[in-house]
Amino acid sequence: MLRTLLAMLVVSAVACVGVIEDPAEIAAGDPMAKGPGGTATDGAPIYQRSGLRRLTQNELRSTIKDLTGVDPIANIGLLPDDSTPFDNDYTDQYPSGRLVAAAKTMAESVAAKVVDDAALFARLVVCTTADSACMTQFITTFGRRAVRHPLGQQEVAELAALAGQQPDFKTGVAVVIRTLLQDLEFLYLVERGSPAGPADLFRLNGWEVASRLSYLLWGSMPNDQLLDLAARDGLRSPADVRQAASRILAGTLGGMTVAKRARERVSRFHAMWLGYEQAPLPPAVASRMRAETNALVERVIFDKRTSWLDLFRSKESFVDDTLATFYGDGMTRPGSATPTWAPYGASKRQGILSHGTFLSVANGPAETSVTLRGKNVRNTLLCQEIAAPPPNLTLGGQPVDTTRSPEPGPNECRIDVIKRTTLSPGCAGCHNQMDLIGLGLERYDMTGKYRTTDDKKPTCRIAGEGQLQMEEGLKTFQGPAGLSELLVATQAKTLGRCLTSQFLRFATGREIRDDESRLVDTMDKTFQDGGLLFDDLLLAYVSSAGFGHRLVE
Amino acid sequence: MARITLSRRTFLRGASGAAVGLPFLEIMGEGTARAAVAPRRYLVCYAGTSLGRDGSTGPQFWTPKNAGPNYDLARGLSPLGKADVFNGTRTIKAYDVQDEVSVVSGLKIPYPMTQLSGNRNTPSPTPEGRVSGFHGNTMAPLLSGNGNATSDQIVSDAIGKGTRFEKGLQYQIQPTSYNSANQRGEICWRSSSTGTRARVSLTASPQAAFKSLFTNFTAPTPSGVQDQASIARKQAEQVLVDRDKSVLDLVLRRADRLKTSLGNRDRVRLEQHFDEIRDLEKRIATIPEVRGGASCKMLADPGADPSSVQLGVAGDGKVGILGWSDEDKRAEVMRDLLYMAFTCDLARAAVLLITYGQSYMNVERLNGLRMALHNSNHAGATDKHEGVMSWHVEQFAWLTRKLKDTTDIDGSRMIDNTVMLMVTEGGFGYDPEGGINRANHSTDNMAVLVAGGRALGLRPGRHIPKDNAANPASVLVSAMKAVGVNQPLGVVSAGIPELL
Repeated sequence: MLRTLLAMLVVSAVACVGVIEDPAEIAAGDPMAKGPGGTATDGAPIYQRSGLRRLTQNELRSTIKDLTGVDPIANIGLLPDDSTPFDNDYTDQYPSGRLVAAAKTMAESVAAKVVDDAALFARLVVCTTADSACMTQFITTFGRRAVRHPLGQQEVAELAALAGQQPDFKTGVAVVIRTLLQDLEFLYLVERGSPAGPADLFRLNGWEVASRLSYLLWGSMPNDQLLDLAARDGLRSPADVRQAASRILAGTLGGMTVAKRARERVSRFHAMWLGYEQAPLPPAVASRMRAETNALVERVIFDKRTSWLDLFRSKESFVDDTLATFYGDGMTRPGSATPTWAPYGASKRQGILSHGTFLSVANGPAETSVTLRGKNVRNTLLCQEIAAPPPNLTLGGQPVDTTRSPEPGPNECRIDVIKRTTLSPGCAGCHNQMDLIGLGLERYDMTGKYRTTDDKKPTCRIAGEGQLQMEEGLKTFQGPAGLSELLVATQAKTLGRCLTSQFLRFATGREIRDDESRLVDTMDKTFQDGGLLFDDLLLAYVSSAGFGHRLVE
Repeated sequence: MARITLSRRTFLRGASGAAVGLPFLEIMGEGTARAAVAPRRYLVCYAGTSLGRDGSTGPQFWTPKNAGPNYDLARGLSPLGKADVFNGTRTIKAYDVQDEVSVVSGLKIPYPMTQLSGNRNTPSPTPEGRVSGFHGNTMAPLLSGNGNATSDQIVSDAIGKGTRFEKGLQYQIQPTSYNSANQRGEICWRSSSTGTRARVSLTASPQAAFKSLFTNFTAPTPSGVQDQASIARKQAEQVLVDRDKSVLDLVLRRADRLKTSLGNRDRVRLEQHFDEIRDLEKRIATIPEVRGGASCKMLADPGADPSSVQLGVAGDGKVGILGWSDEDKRAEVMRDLLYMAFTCDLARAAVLLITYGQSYMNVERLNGLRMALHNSNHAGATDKHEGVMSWHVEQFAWLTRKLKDTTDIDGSRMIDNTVMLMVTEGGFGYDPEGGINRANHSTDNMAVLVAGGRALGLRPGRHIPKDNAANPASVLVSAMKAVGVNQPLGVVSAGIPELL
């Protein structure tokens, strides 16, 4: 876990902020520290350890839909995921009786729906003879798709024997589906590979690479085209994998539907990383807010294919009249009941930091929190960690409860209570790193709606001016637009590196470990050198030597 | 009548209580002579709340003023009494079970100041079970003494053999944390076959819980005689059971083959999955005879689960973290299922999470305030939060009443052979991390409700104040002892002598 808090970024009375990587370690004569495409400067590939990962709820739903045509929505909720912030951290997964029982229930439900629906049944069982040859054909085809590699002869024979014990052909098909949907190779991404030199290094076979690729790119099983490519040994070299991934993104391998799902996957990565996937959005505009942010992500990364930093620089947004009105700060209403790109106009908004999605993250239970918002910018966007409060804090001789935000008295403005508590001389050493950022966002309430005064206190004006403390001193900004400009102007490399490390965490399915920091370094260099094009990062990762290998845990 | 089956109960009735010492017929199988002995049962309920209001003078809830029997029903305990109470939002039902429920108050989980002060991220609880960060980690230490299997799992292993759910039942009423902090619902852990401690997931879906209990279930008939329809139904069920079993057989065979090709860590990771499949297969295949008394019956299908609304709108029109999934309806189903599982002897130990630690469940339906339980507990008006505390106790009191009114297979009252506990996340007093007094983030002045167990040596119906001189785990130690499990919970080995 990259939590070594060694490099202090900020001059402060109290050591509050550190980075979650250690540049000193990265640069300290490590022969594998630098080099393009997942190789060190001496050309040595960088490999990662990996373990069994269970399909997430989201992946399982997509996989079952792709595999059978049945949407298991009614049962999928029985299988919970933790968010850390990503839902696919295998080190946090654990098998349980509930999981096994839920998998059984889901398998039975899906199998019953398939055999009860003539169209679904005909899609899966293309032969019509309903004899043993037909069953074998079904098992062979369905099995390859379910466990994501061809079944061996013995495996086919076992399933055929089980099907043969049933009173009729359809029940036999149902039993095969039930078995394979509870199979460990269906529920987990199983990677074995073949020995590749050092004792714990294994080279993945084409089927395993196909699964890595499909679950990274669109969060579901490999489609037939990708499986066919694996069958032809067409995913052997890093160049093969890069080409396949490029074709998927372009829609020439699997069609535009898969390309669209890959875009949605990238949007979801951002939603999990930045926290708005689970943020408490106002119900009336929640879907509009999500659509707004997803549209911006897809526009920058895929439609315009410009620098990822344009997420912070966008001068227009994808809104309808309802959302523009909801925001309430003079944003141009597009004159449409369906979302369309509209300029921010007179509003002070700019880019993703002014979206309701982002502003809904990191608030208190009933009001914004300048501390949590500032901390979120540090933690999430810049991958900087704020140290925990020191023990036995007191303020004015009284112990401080640091678990909740100070609340203003009936005749007090919020800014006043902030000044006399978290920004008082004793606390400001640390809180300046957070609260000064949060103050710059205070004109946007916890739903992203614009305001100029405290709620129910019209005499309490909100200045909306914030400051970002950096090595060179304090820089002042106003609102999300000002913060965006400041971050892009002064923290571009940090933002890019943070994105790289979070992407690798998502792609690996666990936190990046200390001894893997050189992989972050290498990928980040490729990303930054290429002008921060997100798909460059993605393609560099899948075509790195490490992508086709695993070090056994 | 196509076939007459001599049931165990019929035989024993015929023997007029002289079963002991008689040779028994082999066709009746093992355990026949034990059939008329009522099983011991153990239930732990968990409420994600503390017992005061921040800044108030003392514990506000569950802490009677007078000790001994006929204790005054302190705030939140009205469901134990005789009179329904309308709290302005809803009627809080009373179940008249005070004489079956003891309140052990003034319990305390010790905390070393040097470790906890200001350190919210300490990963491990204290040896005595104080959860660092208060809300921060798994809630299990209170129920396990820290680092061990939780008491329900220890009890299950000791007394659950031969039941359909040998590892007990684990249900939750609040189905989700609403804020992604799932660890605050972790109240059940067991020792795994690999020697490590493993979390046991709770069942949040009433429908899944129902299916799990009543698939392949045939209630005993009063006469012990099976009619033709029952026999036909049983035969049809047997076909399905055989099919289930053959599917799981093949899943297991494939899993075993897979295991041999995996690395060590992956093998360990899957070991529990294998264990759970084997367990499920065994449960399906064996279908122990339902041994309950006359009250044992199949419940009506509760239908689709109430929808789970993760997000809501907080009090003054602002959006905040809170959610509501018809927990009141879910509670009714889950407690019905637990009651019937005990009545039919399908399980002998269980846990029921009523609400998560630091619960963000909207309490509006309970007390009229549109806010999260956590907020209501910290800062809501005391009389309002009383409605929330009472709702938790209602679930406990309902179960107590049902077991009190139900005749066990030996003719006694079920409640007398059952020990039920209700614990909370916190108490009220000093918060060692915040460094403040009169706080809910405290493990001082905790209270545990204990119901039943009269036939097991407990003397219910009293208030036992401990003045912060006993760990709440001590109550669990005594309860475990009552059901025949004599062992400490972590470092806590002392019980509460006054309970016995």
